[in-house]
Amino acid sequence: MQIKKINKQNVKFMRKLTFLLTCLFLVGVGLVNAQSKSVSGKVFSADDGQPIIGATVLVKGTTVGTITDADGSFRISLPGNAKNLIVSYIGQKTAEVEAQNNMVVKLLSEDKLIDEVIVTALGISREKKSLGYAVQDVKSDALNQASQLNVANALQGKVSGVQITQAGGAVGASQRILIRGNSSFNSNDPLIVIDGVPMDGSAGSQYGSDGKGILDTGSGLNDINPNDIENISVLKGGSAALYGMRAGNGVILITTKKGKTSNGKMRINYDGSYTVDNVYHLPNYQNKYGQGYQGSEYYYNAYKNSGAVPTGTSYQDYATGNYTGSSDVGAGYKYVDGTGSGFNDGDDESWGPRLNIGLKIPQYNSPIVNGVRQATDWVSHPNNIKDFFQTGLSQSHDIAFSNSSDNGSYRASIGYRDQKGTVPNTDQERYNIALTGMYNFNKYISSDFSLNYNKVKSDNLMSTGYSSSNPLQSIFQWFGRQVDMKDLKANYTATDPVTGNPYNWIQSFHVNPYYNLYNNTNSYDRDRVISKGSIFFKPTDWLKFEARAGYDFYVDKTFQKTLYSTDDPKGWFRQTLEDRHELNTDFIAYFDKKFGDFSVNALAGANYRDMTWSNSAEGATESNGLTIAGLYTMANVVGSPYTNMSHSHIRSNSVYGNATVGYAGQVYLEASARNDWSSTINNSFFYPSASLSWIPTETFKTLKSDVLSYLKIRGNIAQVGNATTAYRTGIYYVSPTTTSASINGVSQFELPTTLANANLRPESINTKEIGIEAAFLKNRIHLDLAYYNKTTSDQIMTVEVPTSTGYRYSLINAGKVTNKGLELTLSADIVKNTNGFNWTSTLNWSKDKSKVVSLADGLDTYTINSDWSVYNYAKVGESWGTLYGTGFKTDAQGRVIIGSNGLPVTVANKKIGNVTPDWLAGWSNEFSYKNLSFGFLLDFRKGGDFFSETQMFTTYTGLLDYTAAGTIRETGVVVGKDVLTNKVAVLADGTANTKTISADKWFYSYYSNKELDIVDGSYLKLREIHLTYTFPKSIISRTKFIEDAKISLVSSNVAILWLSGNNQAKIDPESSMGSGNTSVGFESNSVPPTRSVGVKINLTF
Amino acid sequence: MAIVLMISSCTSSFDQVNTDPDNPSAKLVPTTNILAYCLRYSADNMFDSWFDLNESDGFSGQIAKWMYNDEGYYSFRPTVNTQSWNVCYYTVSNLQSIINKSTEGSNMWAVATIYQCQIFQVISDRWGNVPYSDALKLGSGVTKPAYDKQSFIYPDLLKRLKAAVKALDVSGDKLGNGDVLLNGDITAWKKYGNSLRLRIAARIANVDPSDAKSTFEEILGDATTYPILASNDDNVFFQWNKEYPEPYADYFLTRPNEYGVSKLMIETLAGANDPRLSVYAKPTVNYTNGVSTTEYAGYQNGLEAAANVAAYSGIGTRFMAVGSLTGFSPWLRSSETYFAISYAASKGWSVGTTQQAAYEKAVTLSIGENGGSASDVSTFLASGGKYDGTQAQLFTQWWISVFKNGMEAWSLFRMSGYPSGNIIAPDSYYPNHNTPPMCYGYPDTERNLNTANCSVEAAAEVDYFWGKQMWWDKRTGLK
Repeated sequence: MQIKKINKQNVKFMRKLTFLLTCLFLVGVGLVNAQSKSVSGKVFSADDGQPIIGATVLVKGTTVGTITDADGSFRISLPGNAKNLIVSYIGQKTAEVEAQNNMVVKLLSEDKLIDEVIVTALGISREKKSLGYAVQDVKSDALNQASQLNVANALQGKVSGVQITQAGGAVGASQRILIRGNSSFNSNDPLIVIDGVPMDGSAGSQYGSDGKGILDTGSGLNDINPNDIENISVLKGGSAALYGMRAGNGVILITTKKGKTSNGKMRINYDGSYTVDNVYHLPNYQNKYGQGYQGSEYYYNAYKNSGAVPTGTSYQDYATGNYTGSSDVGAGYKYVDGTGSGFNDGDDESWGPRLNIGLKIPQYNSPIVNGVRQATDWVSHPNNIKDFFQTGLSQSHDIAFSNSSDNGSYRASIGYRDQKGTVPNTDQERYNIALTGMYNFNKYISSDFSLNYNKVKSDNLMSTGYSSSNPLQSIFQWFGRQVDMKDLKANYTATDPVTGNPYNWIQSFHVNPYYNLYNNTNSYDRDRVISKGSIFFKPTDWLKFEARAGYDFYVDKTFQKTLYSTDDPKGWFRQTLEDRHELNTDFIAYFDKKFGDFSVNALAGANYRDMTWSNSAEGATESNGLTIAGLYTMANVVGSPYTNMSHSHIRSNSVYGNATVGYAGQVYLEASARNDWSSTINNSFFYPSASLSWIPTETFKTLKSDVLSYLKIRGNIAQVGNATTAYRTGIYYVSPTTTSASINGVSQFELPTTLANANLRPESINTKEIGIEAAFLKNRIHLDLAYYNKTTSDQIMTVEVPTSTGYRYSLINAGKVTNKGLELTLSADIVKNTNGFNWTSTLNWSKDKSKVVSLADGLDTYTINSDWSVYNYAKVGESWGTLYGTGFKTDAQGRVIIGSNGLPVTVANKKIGNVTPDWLAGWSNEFSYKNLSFGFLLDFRKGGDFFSETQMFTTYTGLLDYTAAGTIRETGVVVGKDVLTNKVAVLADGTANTKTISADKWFYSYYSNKELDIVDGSYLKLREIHLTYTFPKSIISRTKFIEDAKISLVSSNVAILWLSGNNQAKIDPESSMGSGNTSVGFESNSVPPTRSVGVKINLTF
Repeated sequence: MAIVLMISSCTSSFDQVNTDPDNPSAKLVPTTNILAYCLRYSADNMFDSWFDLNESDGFSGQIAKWMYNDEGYYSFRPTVNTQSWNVCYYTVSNLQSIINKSTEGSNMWAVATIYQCQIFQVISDRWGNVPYSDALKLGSGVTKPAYDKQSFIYPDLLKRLKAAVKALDVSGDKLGNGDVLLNGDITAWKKYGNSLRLRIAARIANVDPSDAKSTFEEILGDATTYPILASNDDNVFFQWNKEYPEPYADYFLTRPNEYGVSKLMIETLAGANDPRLSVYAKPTVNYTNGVSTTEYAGYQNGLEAAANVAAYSGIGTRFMAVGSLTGFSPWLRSSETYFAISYAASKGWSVGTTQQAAYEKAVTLSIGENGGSASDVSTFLASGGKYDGTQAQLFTQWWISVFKNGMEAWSLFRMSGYPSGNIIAPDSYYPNHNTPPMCYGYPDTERNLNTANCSVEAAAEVDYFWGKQMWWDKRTGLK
């Protein structure tokens, strides 16, 4: 069934493409020329004298070419009066040689660091040696080898100084990309640029019905097909200065694949992958106690001792309230209607009676005889949470056609990806069409263009966050351990015989998770076009003009439906339409000329940018609901409908220039400047930057030895800005948006909560950076080390003011944050043997330390976000993102003080954590032996705390294993002895705590004492594994039409190898709530991470 | 040159580009629509589960939460306190923008002033000394408003109310359709303003008798100039309709088993054979099902343990119409006005009536408000509610009459110590206290952002809720 569907979809797209592709084929055919005589020869490595298999031999000026065979031999036909051959092989320097019979070609190994070309700002390719700043790139192979479905996931662990966090394992979830640490209080998102044109990479998310649940519709980068990407360069600091006010947080520069040839013929490439996805990391649950309240033997005995329960009462009778005693006891569990009419059947916690000891208790699924719910076996269902998840399936198929010649090139690809989530009834499909082309009209005029069409479509995306619309809120945090998930699944379409509402284990607070997923759905559909075209005019060798236009455009539609939920029993819906258009036009003049030993490389340009965005939504309000359940039309809305409409428009103009002067390939001095005029801010702003690159091994040739192959020292100083969003300089009254905008038909207008500021300035980011690049042992070991010092000042802050001022926030320019950091990339060809075993290892390591130097006048605390009374503060003198909340009161020796109630005494507003990791590291290893290659990627994070709402509630509700460890529920706990054993607990007089309290009393304190819910976010993950077999030419050549074939076994998110010991609930530290600044340091009910395992095939024709 | 021209021609459009197309500037907004917002927003958020049901209604001893009763035993959520503070100050801030935009002395100016005084009364009743004369001035650069003492705030409210009511002119400017509280009825606003003066005067009667006395005597000495809320038709109730559901009912819609009437209220009503019992409370489920003979039973508020809900009485449908979106939020009742007059008479002030007559009128109004008949009234006044001249009776009846206005019930209790059965939560989160909360602690935002001003006032707080008695709370022996 799966396969059929794909074929159908692909066929549909094939039809649409037929016309375009036909045109392109015709161009391709025209590129191939006729032929005449032939020569033969052999290609060897100059390093070890071994023959090179698979080297490309091309006739210069033509598209005629071949590939060397198993002993390095080739034979090639020379058309017309062709004389020279171009011989190339990966890792070797390309050679141009005169064609003659029985020729021997020796290829020198490539001097990577000297000759490497890298894509920099505005999409300009530069020699890496001339750059005075840190830029790191990831090539297509490295990006795609584990067949990650999203670009951002594929980048994880591969670039130093870049932290990528996915908002949980839900299908289509967004990711947060952070370069060189958190510094801004607004957004720390980098700018994303595709083929020189900015695209909107922000994550779309909508709030759910109760304003807390979040519908994460994914990051903009999720729209891009990783297989269309040739290269990603990450501009980390000052190198981004040419992008001016949008590049303050660095730039992700994506270069898409361009036309390539296979021996002068059209090249067809197919990439396919098929993976199965499984939730592989769940907390450990207890299976000793079920739903209810005070159901343990601890309470049973305590109440018997106090006389509240008659002494003769059996545990069975106590557990179900079957005795005559104090009416205030109300302990145990008995199901009547699931809303509290029985004994605690409206309580969604697992502090009830003991399981698996033969008790019989009326439960939600017990039969009703003569109107009475019968008592049935009170037993555990150890896998009930695991049973909820299913095996997800993902597949992707991409086919690309390309060709190139001296006159031009093209590439056309279509891609399809389909994901079925690990959460039932969640899915996402993505379709991509990419067309790129380049054509030289004549000696002076050329053009290139690219067009990407992307479609992302989901029938249902799960709501996340703390909301009843998120099924995981119910089953992860508030649940009865005795509940049989399979029973909920089998009966989710049934109706509860007592309440008439959907069948569930409780009728308060929660709805059956399957009912939720199948009836309360969120569909999402997005169409996006990213296009770019340039015309180049090159009057001389050293001068070139470019006119460039880029357009990024999307429309998306979200349709949220609720048939029934306990919070919104009357159902509701909302359709949200959004569109965004961004036009960028640039005129750029390039200058490139040598004057003796001096080279001058310069550009000057101007940019015009116009961005419009609109969003409109209509539907029913949650409180009023619908007339007819399940009919989601405006006519069916009760009372006033929900409507909302908002717009944004930003325009900017910029001029920029850049010049690099090089001396004899040894020293390069570069200067840039940019001036921006933005509609969002009154004044214009100017950013200069300068950098220096010096290669001592060129200046002093004697430095070069067998040990030191290459040394470069670089430094730069740069200023970049961050502008702001539209309409922040004037005061505008607003209308309520969460409920009806009118009351009794009268429009309501209120003051904004933020006092606007007519004199806003852009944020200013100053970076100083020094670095060295070095190669050792004949280029076997490469080192790139950078140290930076970044100061973000004049931040545009919505500073919280006391609301007694009449506003909640004041909009000002203030605040200074410094970030200092180290980035290290170390790669080594540990074993190198052209035709034998090879081992390459790359380590990316980085550390960023931020410090809030100052905030506004008289302000020492700025709230970045808060949730459940845990605050993420920027506090003067501390790093960005210090977590505050209620925590333990300790004495002078750091011992936890226990109060008269046996619980730790707490203090409010205590520093309880910090979100910044100590360091990050990614370590990749690639092994190859003949046709086999193997690689894996480890991803480390040390430190970085987060507030785990899941840990807070899952403990509070008694679901986790440690809430029923040993005999603590039967005999109680002494804090510091039975629990909280990593701390010393003392009474007010300094003596050891000996007060026994019930287990629930202690674990309830996870709700009030937030220090207990701060989790160290350290992890070690096996991020990717791949095992690839490249079919030998000898086999491939027999097929006549296949040029290259590979098959890989791939796995991503393979395993969490280690988590910090204080991560009690075993939460994946990457399960953040979303992808914005506000999500940092907060976790809530995310879908657990998923492990993908599958097969990937790559064929070139 | 071409670039410079391009830039200058394009930047000229920037002002237009950066004008919000969706939201009106201050110039364009009519004051009546801001008024509509203020009236709806304040009623919506000051009579809901967070502001009222969970906390002040529990502190006053009227409502008991049946499960997840953290607030009931004072394990409160700091963010809720912050939000409550914000709700109040957003409202007075929006009212201030009406005051600033309208002509001084106009009806719109007067109505915004009266309503602002009402909200400030609640603010001070809840938190004590608060930013008042220095508040709402961020636009003039005041980022840390100074606090005023209650001894300044209440008398000033009386002054402002007097001036505002005086300015009201039935033939003056129209309020527009934004008066969703009193439908543009200027006379109704006069009655509201005057009765509010009486409420505030009664509040400070023990600490500022001269202001209180002169207020009572002025208003009650000239009924024509100073009309008051005199019948149940005059009650200042925010009436909800389906655009915005009544906040209690809205909450109850999804959580039917969370709140009930307190043990204290049930026992007080039942003990006096009060006809309001069956209106305030519902029979227990066990009684309805024939399982129990106890028709009305109240759960003790302030217990940590969840109630066996079938054994206790829920809140009557007049106050919490489950499944219906209509209902009311009571700002000020005519019965309260007469209890205040009775209280003033008990002090010997000249209020044109006797303590007993005012008391009986107040009780009559309250029973009538709840649908009781004339014979219900006469029976009650002859038996359980028979006038005895005591402050205990006056305040207990007053307390009963303000049902569903937790703030007012809590304040009346703190003024008088009645009903004396309103005990501290049995499972109080904070040991060593002997009375329900005396006030609210200041929200974290004030502590963190207005530290110098707030810390002086907060110094008197003990465990957030105690230590700082209201200026008008003269009870002794409390800790």
